[in-house]
Amino acid sequence: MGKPAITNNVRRLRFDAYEMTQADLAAKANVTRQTIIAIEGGKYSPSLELAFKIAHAFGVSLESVFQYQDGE
Amino acid sequence: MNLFSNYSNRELNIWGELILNIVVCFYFFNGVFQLVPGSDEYAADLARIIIDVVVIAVVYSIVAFGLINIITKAEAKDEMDRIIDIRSDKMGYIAMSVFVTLIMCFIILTESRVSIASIGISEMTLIFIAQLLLMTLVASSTVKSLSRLYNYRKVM
Repeated sequence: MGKPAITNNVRRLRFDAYEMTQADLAAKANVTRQTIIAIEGGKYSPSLELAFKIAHAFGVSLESVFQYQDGE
Repeated sequence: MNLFSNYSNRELNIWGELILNIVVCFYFFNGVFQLVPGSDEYAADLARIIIDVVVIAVVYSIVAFGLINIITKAEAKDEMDRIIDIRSDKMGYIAMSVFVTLIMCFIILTESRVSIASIGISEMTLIFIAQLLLMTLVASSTVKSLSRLYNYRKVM
């Protein structure tokens, strides 16, 4: 399996946000903690709506949280 | 309690559903394979097995899912859960399509007097076909539960 096309900085952003817990982020984004774990681990790419919610929870732009890696 | 502390409410529910499906599968298949096609009590015995399965499923659901929701906090489904559900529903649908196709082939070959196993044309009654379709429903439901658990574990 290659590297995922969409990478994210959720772990670093949580650390920067005074070690925000996964449960706290999940509550802010209105999803389960398991979904945050999957996104952080790069095993699940969120919908556009959820991606915006996560960015909004950190108070940063979408590009600061998620990056698209062109595989070509 | 500590045994379940590493499992989310959602995962425990998936496990609960899978165990229910396996229990139902085992009970149902074990029961129907002991029936004698064409016998006088065939329909009544099949009905008794179905009633037993329904009772087992209802009692198990009340006890198991009730306990799960007491041990862990119930969570609403989010988008990832719904995607997992869609994928597992698709697998269940594929399994059901395969099983139904196999049953149709089985019926056609039997009607064509091609010998399959020990089932003769005289035993291919409507109630026997209904039994085959019920087995298909139970088996495809188990495939769906297995697929749901696999997809859930894959993203964890």
